[in-house]
Amino acid sequence: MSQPYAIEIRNLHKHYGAHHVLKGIDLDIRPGEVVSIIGGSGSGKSTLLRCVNFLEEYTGGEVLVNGRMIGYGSSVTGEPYRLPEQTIRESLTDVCMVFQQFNLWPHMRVLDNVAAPLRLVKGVRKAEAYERAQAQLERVGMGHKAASYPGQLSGGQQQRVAIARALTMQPSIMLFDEPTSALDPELVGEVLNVIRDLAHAGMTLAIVTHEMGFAARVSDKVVFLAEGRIEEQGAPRELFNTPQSARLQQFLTSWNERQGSLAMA
Amino acid sequence: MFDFTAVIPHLPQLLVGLASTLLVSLSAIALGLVLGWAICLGLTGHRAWLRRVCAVYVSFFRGTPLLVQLILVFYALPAVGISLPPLAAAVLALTLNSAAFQGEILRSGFQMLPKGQLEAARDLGLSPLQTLLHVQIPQVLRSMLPALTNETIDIIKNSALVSAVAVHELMRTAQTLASTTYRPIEFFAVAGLLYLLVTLCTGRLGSWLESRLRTA
Amino acid sequence: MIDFNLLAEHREAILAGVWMTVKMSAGGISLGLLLGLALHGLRQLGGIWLVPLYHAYVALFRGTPLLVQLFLVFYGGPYIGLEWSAERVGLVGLALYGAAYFAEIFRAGREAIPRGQIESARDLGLSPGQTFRVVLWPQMLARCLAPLVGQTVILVKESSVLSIITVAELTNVAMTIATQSYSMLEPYAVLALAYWAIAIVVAATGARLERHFTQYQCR
Repeated sequence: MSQPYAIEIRNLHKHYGAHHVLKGIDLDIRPGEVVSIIGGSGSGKSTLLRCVNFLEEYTGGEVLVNGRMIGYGSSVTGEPYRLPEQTIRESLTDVCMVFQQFNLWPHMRVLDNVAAPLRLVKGVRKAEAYERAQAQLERVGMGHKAASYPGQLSGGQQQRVAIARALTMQPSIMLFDEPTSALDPELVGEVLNVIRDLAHAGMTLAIVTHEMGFAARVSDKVVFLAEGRIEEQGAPRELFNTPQSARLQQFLTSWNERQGSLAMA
Repeated sequence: MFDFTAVIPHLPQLLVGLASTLLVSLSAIALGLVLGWAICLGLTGHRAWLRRVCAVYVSFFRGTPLLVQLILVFYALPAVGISLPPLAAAVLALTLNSAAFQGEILRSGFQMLPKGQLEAARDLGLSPLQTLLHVQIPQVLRSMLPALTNETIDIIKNSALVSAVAVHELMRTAQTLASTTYRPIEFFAVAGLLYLLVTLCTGRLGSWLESRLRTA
Repeated sequence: MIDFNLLAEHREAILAGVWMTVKMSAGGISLGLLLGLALHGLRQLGGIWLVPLYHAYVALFRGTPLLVQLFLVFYGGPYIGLEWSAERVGLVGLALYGAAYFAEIFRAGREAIPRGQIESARDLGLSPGQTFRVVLWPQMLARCLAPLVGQTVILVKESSVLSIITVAELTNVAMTIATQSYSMLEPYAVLALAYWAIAIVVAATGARLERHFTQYQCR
């Protein structure tokens, strides 16, 4: 069971037609490690994350989760072929993603949103599924909204429900795709607190984020992406305090300026 | 088995039929727009009784089959002393029908305009008429265009029913030719294709106008 | 002036006509809904054949008058060995015609659902079938209900066209009574009122259903 790496990414490429989005990414994430991925828009950071749970079909290289190759197998001759959809789903039960737009199902009550995957995918019986769903809702501080519909909640509350829904599936790895980018500034904190708690609980996390302060505080490693390549990576203290590449220096400077102008306003 | 060459000598007749189909449909659409405008004004106006009357009008003409409306105009109107020539009766029935739909289309077009625009226009000193001409109508026309295109296609298709009450448009011509030549498949298929051609062109024209207005 | 005895006299014929209209519309609409859903499913499967085929079907059946479609089968059918009764032609014709509209309604409903909801379902491990049943279908139903009801009313009205191919439904019966009795006003007035009533009832029922299925949106 115990693999040295939770996620291994080797020479990963992604093309959209002629557009080359990821140009050979190598990245390892150990069990229990918290990795933040930063970079400008169009740098490929969301695409990288979405390749890990195969929402994007990568076009070169490989992604391994807990030692298992995701999406493709290799034939006797070594030619890669796409695995059947069901096999892919089964190999990804250990990975859950939290989306920028929450992606709750608006026609189900909060409790049903959280309990439905448990019942459908794991075949858990109704009473037990509700019990476990309620417990996860309590964990993110949303237990009192179990009977509401997603449309009645604030963005921050919806995102916390989405996190509870992912947690209920008991993944060992969670992916966060800009989890606070769609939120009003005053709601960002409540979501970041929940993610911080998960980090402290020892879960493996990969977080695409624009919240540099948060990335600096919770991450074991920060990865800076530019134009589809990893430009620089390292411990947050080194990366933020002594950036080596010109690109990262520029990225951090412009980010600081934006923060500064916000503070002025 | 099928002999579509049998249709060729009769093409001119079919095309004359198509012409009167278009004449009837387009007159109904144009007149329906005028009457529809009046209905829209009634529906959104201040007089309660007029709103009622217009609402009943719309409900009736949208709630009963066009064929029944045609029959009423063709057979029931003469029974109360109003006799019209077939072509005029056909245009009248289609107009009354289309006006109900276009009235509703216009009303929802006006309703979708944000109220703030009218307030801004008044604040800037535009008269109600100026507001109507320069602010409301251009936007309403633009937003109602897709619905208007659909309505035009519907009327062209529905005008085939006029054949049942003795106007020699496309459908009726095809019917006559089909029964005199014993080739119903060929003639009805060609009639269908002609309708398809016209409705597809109407749809295209609508999308083209839409994209032009959007960029304008 | 208006002679309502005439209607009492032909009570049975009128009721039979109403019943035929109900049978034709209900049958045609149910079949059309099933076929429309099947068409939508085929389109979702995609592929270089199915998608253009779907669009051709929709363009053909929505771009030509129902009357032409009915005449082709009713008068043309016997020439290719298809000797169907008027009722069968009417039922199948109404279903094929309605299916094109229903399929497009389903498509619009499906396309209005944000892609992210399907992605999150897949991420959590739901199969495509489960995703459709649990995530998409309930929302499609809610979004499609209003246009579906509208289309239902339209098809009930269109069923009057079947009178032209001699199906003895309401319109046909009214025309027969009118010609036999030489009175044009009463049968046709009642005819119009009957359809009007049906349309109002269907629309009101639809509005109630819609409130029921869209509870989650309006709070």
